[in-house]
Amino acid sequence: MKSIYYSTLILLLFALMQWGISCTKNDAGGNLQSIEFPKPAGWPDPVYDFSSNPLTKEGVALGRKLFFDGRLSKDGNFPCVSCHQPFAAFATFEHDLSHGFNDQFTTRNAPGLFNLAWHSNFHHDGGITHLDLQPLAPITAPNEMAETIENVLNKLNADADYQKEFAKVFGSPEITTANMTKALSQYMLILVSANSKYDQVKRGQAQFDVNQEAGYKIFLEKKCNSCHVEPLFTNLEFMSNGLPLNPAFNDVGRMRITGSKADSLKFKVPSLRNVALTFPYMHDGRFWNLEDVYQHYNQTIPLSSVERSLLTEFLKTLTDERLGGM
Amino acid sequence: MYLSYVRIENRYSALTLLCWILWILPSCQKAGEDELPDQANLEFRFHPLMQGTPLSFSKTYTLPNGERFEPRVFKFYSGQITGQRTGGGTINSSGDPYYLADAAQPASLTIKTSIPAGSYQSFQFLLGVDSARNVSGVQSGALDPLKGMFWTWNSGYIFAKLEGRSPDATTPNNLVEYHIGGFRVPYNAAQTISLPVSGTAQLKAGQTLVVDIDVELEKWFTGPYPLSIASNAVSMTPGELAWNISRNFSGLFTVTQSSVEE
Repeated sequence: MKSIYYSTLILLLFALMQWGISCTKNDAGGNLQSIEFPKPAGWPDPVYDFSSNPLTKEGVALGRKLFFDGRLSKDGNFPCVSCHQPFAAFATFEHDLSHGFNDQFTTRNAPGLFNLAWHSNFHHDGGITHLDLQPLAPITAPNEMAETIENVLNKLNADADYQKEFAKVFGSPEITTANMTKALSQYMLILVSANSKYDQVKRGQAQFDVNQEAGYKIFLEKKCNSCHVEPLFTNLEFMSNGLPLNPAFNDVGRMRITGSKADSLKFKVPSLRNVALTFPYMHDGRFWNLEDVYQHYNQTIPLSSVERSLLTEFLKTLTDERLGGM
Repeated sequence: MYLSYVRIENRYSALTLLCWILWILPSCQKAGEDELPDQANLEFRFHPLMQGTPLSFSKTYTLPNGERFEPRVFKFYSGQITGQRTGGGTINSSGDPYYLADAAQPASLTIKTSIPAGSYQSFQFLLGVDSARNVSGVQSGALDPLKGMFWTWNSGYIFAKLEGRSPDATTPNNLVEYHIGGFRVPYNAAQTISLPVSGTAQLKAGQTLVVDIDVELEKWFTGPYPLSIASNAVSMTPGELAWNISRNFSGLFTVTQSSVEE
């Protein structure tokens, strides 16, 4: 009787292995080249769920193409890249407010786009709860890209090249809200900014000069890092830094999303990475340069003019030249 | 190759082998087919009404509080259907998709799902979208954001939409727009709607339990939160007002008939 027991056991194992093989869906994509997310050594784990949208070379390229494609906007003039410019760390260069369809201003300063895999919410008020959902806001905002999701999908589906590329990346030629936004996410996710001089110093590949070193000390001593936490240079939380309400917009920030008075005038702490490229500053771009920012903080964190200059020297080491080429 | 390890000593073990193969192979079929013998169908038929007659979009109605209202759009999400068996036990179809009912599209007012055969005393559905699906990326099917039932700037679904005009509204063009949603505590506007069906005949495999449900739209404005168009003609964001209006929703739905059909 023992042999029955063993043979049964082995056959069960055999059957399970067979089942495992025959029930695994073959990906229709074929020769997709998968990319491992380039997580810098020593950084926290990203929060984006890559298992729901595995990165591939082709997916990233498709996302990049969409990011630069004006057809995502109503009149063709406002691709994502019109407000998120690579040479400005994907913020809008020299603009306090970006502008969109029909010469309209937006009401907020476009943030730089990098290290997004570590963010679980988006916009200055954190109203958007997933990176994949983010593009839907500018696409449909009447003062930005001013288009409908349906029209965008119709335009893209009419393009045979896109259909081929989507078929390759997602296994189906039909372009849907879900796979269009996943492709865009793939591109935005690989915009990892971790190769500034600061990073090279941390990796032992470079050295700060005297001024940069002194500036870093001021950054730490003055506790700038209580909100601008390394290595992301943001704690990703919502804080009020004492900015008064701008009556032109009546933008109450996080409270607009939560409805809670405790969140009034709180905005997401921005990263200081690439800060030399992302001026003007604050959610509405009201400060043109770092000097204006230091002046604003003068009540709470007074700095001498020498300290200001040294701190600026340090902040410049957070610029990642490689990001602009991505 | 694997078989070489199996010592078949007598015909009993050979028989066991055959049994295993026969038992394992069908498991590769599509899930669900195994359970077919016990499965029956559940069909909800929503009937939007205003003052006892089928809702018309080209008519101005007088609401119970005397205000006038000309409806133009009425849509709502339903999903997460659960049921109580007579004599205990519950079933759920939480793996099912969501459904978007649109008063302008009669076909969308009937939703169908499969349930185990048996006898039921009540069903529930969620009027809205569960919070997980509000925060986990771009959904498809009825929940595709292109359906226009999604707030892009404040991620989340509009659970129910009622739009129209009213001379009592102080808004531009007398617009009345209620976009009710919001999944954040304490103002989660998703409401569980109960549908009692006790007394319905036993549902046998393959049969359909049809539940006819009146949706009386004037009750949008009455219930735990009396709603006045003159004071609140617009609710377009999640929050306290949306949640208050959603408290009226359970009053909208009344089961008028439930019967078993072949």
